[in-house]
Amino acid sequence: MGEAEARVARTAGGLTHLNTLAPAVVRLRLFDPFTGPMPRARYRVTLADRTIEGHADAAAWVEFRVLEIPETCVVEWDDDEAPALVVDDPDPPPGSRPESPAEKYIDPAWVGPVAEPPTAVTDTYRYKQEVYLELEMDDEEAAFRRLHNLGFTLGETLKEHIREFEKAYDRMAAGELRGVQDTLWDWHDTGGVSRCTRPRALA
Amino acid sequence: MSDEHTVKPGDCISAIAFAAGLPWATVWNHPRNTALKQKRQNPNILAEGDIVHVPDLESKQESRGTDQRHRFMVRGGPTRLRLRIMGPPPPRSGSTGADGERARRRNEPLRYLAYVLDVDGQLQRGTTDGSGLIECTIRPNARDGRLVLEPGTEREFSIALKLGELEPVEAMRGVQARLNNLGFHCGRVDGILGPRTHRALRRFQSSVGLRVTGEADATTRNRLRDAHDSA
Repeated sequence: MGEAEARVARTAGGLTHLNTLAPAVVRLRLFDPFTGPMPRARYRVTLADRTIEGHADAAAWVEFRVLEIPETCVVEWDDDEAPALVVDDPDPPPGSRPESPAEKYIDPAWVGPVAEPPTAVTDTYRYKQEVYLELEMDDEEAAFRRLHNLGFTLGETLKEHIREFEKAYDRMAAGELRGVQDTLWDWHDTGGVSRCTRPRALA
Repeated sequence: MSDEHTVKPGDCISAIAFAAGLPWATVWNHPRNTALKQKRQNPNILAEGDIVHVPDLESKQESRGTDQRHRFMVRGGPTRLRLRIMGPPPPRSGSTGADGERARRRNEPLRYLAYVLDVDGQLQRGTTDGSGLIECTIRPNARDGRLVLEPGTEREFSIALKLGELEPVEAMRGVQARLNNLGFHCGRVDGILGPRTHRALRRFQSSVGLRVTGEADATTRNRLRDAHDSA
């Protein structure tokens, strides 16, 4: 996919033909691992044809236009003021911070001849996730994609993802789609996600 | 000698007439183009393969006094590019996130939005008007343009414009191009009514309150043309 393209008509003198362009808007809300919104978070969105960088708004929303909605994009984000290269806390509270690519770079185990450390501070982000933008499909796949977008990606089956979601919110881990479907759709599609009690696995 | 011109992608009556040194109305209103005129209705939206009769240049003599200034008007006026920039279509079920204010901006003209428009090297900067409209005079045979919305900001968005390549809505490529322009993405404009085009048609039909069939029936095509081509 190259630059967005629109086929339009010229308008002969004296006529009134219009070409209406209504680019689609993709909106994403950026959260920390406990699904707390991250106002003004730094972000980078990588699409097939371009990269968009900037800061989320005061409510942690990111918004950008596309003429074609791709199936996925890659989103990287971080606190606005956070140093790009995070020094590992030697004794972090259990599960308080998921491992991220930025942290991997400074872990001696990962800095080797083939793993170059980032050269520019602005090139690194604490969190990284592939996000599904195409969500029109059967309920199970749509649920899988929403759970993935919300960071519930451990395990291989939908049932496992649902259980992970349920555990994060101290629900009984039944793993049944019908038990979470309304909440999942509502939270994902409105960005009004409740804070979870266990962190999600971002990046 | 008069000529028959077979329409290629990017052609329209304005461009064909310009190449022949004629006003567009002279070509469009020529009796030998009556059938084409009835079929296509809009002189600037022709289909590949349409045949246009291009009449000969006719000389015309006018007597005027010497040592005076005289004004001669060319019929038809300049060719223009008219773009209306709208907010995105209503959310499909399951789109990612919306809040009240953003939802209200959907499907409404984007007013006073900064833009840069480049058509064949002619640069125009400005803001959309109160109807979301951008309008500029172009050469009748201009082919390529680039529109940048909100230039220089994080929200900058660029669209390559293929001038004269919008086909009639009766053609599947015309349906697909309009769906794409209106934000009901259906992929490559290839003239094939595949699954993505069916899905885009269903979304369009749903958004305008038509029966959702995913088919490009006459009612859907008319609504699509109205939504895209008319104020």
